Amino acid sequence: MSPFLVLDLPLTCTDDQVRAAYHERLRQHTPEQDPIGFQMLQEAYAALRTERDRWRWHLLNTDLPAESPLQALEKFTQLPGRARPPGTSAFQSLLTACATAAQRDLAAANQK
Amino acid sequence: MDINQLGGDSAAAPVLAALAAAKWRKARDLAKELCKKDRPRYLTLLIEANVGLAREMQAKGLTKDAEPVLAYLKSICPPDQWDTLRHELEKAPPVVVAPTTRSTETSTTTASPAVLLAIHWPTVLRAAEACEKGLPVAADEWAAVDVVVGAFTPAPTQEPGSLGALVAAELEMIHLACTATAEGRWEDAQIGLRSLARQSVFQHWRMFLRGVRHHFLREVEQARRCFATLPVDGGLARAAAVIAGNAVVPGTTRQAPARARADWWLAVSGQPRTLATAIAEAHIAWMKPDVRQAYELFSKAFGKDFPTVQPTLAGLMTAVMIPLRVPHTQSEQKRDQQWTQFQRVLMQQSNQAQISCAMLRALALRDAPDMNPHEIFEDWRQMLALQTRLLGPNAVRDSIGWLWLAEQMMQPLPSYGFFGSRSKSPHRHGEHARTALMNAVRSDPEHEAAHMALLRFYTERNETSERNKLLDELVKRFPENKQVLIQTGQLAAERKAFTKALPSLRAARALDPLDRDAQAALASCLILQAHDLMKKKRPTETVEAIWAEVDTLAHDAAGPHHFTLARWSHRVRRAVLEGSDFHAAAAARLAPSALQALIYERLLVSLHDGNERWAWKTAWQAALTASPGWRDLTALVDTARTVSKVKGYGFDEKLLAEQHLNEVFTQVTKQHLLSDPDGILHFIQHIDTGRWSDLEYRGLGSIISDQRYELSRKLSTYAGKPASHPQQCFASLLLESGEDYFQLTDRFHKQLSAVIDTAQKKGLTALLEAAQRLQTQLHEKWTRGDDEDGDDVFDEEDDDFPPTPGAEQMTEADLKNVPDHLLPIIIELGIATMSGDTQAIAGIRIRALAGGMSPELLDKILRTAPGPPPKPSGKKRTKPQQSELDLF
Repeated sequence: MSPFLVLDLPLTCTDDQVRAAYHERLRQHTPEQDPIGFQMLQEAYAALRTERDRWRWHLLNTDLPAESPLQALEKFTQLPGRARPPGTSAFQSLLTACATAAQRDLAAANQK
Repeated sequence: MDINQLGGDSAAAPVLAALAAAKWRKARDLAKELCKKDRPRYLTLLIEANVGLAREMQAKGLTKDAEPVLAYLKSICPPDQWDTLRHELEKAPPVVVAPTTRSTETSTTTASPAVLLAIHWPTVLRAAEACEKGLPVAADEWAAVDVVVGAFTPAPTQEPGSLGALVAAELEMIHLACTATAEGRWEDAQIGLRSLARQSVFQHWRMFLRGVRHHFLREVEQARRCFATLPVDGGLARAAAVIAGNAVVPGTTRQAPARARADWWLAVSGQPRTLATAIAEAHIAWMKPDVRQAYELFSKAFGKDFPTVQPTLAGLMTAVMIPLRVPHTQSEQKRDQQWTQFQRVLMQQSNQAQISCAMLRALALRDAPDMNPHEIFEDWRQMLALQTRLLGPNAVRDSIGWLWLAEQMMQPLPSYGFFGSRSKSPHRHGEHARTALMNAVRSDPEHEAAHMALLRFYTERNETSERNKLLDELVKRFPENKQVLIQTGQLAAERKAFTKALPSLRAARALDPLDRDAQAALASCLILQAHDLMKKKRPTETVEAIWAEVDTLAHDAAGPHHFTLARWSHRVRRAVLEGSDFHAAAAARLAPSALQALIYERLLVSLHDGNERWAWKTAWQAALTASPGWRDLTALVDTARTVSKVKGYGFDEKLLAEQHLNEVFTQVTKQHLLSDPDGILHFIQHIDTGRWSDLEYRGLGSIISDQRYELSRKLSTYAGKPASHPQQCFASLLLESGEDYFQLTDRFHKQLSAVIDTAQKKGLTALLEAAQRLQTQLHEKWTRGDDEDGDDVFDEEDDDFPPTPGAEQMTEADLKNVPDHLLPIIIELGIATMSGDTQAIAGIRIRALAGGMSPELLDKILRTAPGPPPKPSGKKRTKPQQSELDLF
């Protein structure tokens, strides 16, 4: 996953912005609490530390973020500090869709 | 009448079932019949069926077809209800449900929550009763409970004190807890669920909501445990899978609809939820695969923001779609083909800079090793220009881009064996590399790596004056660069300017005292200085002081550098101090093996016209009888390879090396074909995959080739025994695979798979990794079609060596017609021709003709095989120069 997305920074960010974004997220993702998030932050910081690092990543990275658009979106959500409680509407939509799909699948299986 | 009150009405049941299944027309017809009997009671059902039908038509874009349905609705609805309905139909987007993995649904819309509640409420009551009595609840009853909660509609009015009233109250409690959880009010959710009875039919919802809380508080293990308790057939397990980031419910193939997943992930990451439908549909198109549809869906959803090279969600989707990886699976190959066709369409569009930039970058990074140098140069230059256009000018970025291109152009030309063509240049494309390096340095004069690459370029092309000029400039610009200091020191040492060389090299070593290169360069310089002083008959104390400093560099720990340093020390000392067995023993102690030390010593003595130590042969015999293994042999091949790189290395040394290697090889194959399977595999892997081919040009190929042939013959007896002798079988396959991967048979692939199976079963990790790597490499070679791509390079280089008019060259077709038993002879002949060994050529020629080879074919081979490397004939052998010493 793009280190720019991990630290939520634009391509033209400065060294100070990178450092600030890293330290801000580091407080919430300690190695004890969230080892995966911490590792992601470390790697992202190492990849973006200087202007030369940032452009090198931008031009020469060969990272494939995911196999499919939906998987990419899922990975995007799992980046440190991205996921927040989504609000009532989204929560209800998910529960309604899942319950309906499960009920239909069961009904179809019973019919068979 | 309220639709909830029809839940227990047996006459309304078929209509409700049709509504729940989103079979709107069937529901409408049935409702019409009921309305004829009791219109006030069943009108709600007729309205519901028509609303569903109108929504479905709108979702499918059939707005004209929906008009009569809406007109009919207007005629049957009470005026106040019609106003509300019209408002809903106009404003609210249709609920689109993308198909799940198992769902058989055909409709694109779902029944309204009121209908779902009306249908499933009686089932929920039954389940609640069972729970209260401690009886089991069926899977479809749990599913009905989830549907009722998921409808997020208040329960129908119940008789006070009844079970229905209790369940309705609990339902409200769950709804409130859901709202609190969705808003991150964890304590409210916990407090709200405290009064939920243990035997409640909604008990699993408590675990689910607890799991959601743990998830958002990043308590992954607790969340996993909560979610693991949910019924796998129910809707909650699917929702939990989405929340926890699993594609499917663990242990099943069940998953939430794509749109629901997209909607959730967009919502939790703070992105616009309006993109959910597009992403879900693009995902389905992508998986089909249909690249064009997926691309167009994204273009429509993101507008001008897609495609983009910026790090945004649109940029992420762009990155997913761009073919950055060599296609492996069938789907990937299909997508790749679709991209090729679709690209032509895209290039005609006005705003195609973003996609062109992304595509050019991806394809260059992916295919650089196989692309024509002109093509890759032009593509990459264009990509950098697009970057400037899209992101504005930036010198640092340009310099990095040009340096990458230069490195691609500076790659050595691939080796195609001795029947392939030769190149005058050490680089893939020297002039392109020069242009790219100049651009890199010019764009960003502070880019140290670019300067160092330019320095390497001049060194590799022997452009001495340019290199020296650049070095002088770099010393001023980067006074603390280790490589610059080393190279400056070495250059000065070559000119015997030790007063300039030593400070540079000492400064390099001071920057990194553990760096082996700096250490070796300093030691080499000191040895040269000592040698120089001895020649000039300077006082022994001065020379001894230098030797003492060399010893400090050689006495840390054993390793190749120390070994070579010690050998040099020994050699140079012996030139002055005869009978220095003490130093020879010290060198042998530091060497990785006694054999290696001895072969080194012998070769160096020969190379520098020294006298052989009297005890050398005894020591050699003793080392040989001490059971050398395959790893010793591997090390010796490397030793020979290193020594062969020394300038002035000639035919005599080659023979000497061959003779010694053969002795060791004979000794090793006698004992270790079965007893050290890992060692033999290590050896094969070392000499295989083309690494040995560089030795051919240096005259050491015949020994490797002989060993390869001999081993191939011996190992072929184990090729059919992957289960009992997996290493030997794999070694045999490895040798076979290097010949021609297009000719590999099914038998080969089956045996390779069998080796992988055996390695897995027996836990032979190294073998497993090597076998899997070979399988992947073969697959990649096959799918990439290396031969076709390599033609451009061949063609271009062939221009440097036009074929002699009238001289017919040997072709692949000729080689295929040669009987198997003659192939080893052809290889021998090729190697002998390359090394210029006329005596050997004559011997092989007689054997070939006796073996049935036609004189015409023999002539063709002799014409095709490259000649020996140029010999410094007539020149007296000179003492080694600094560049030679670098190797030691």
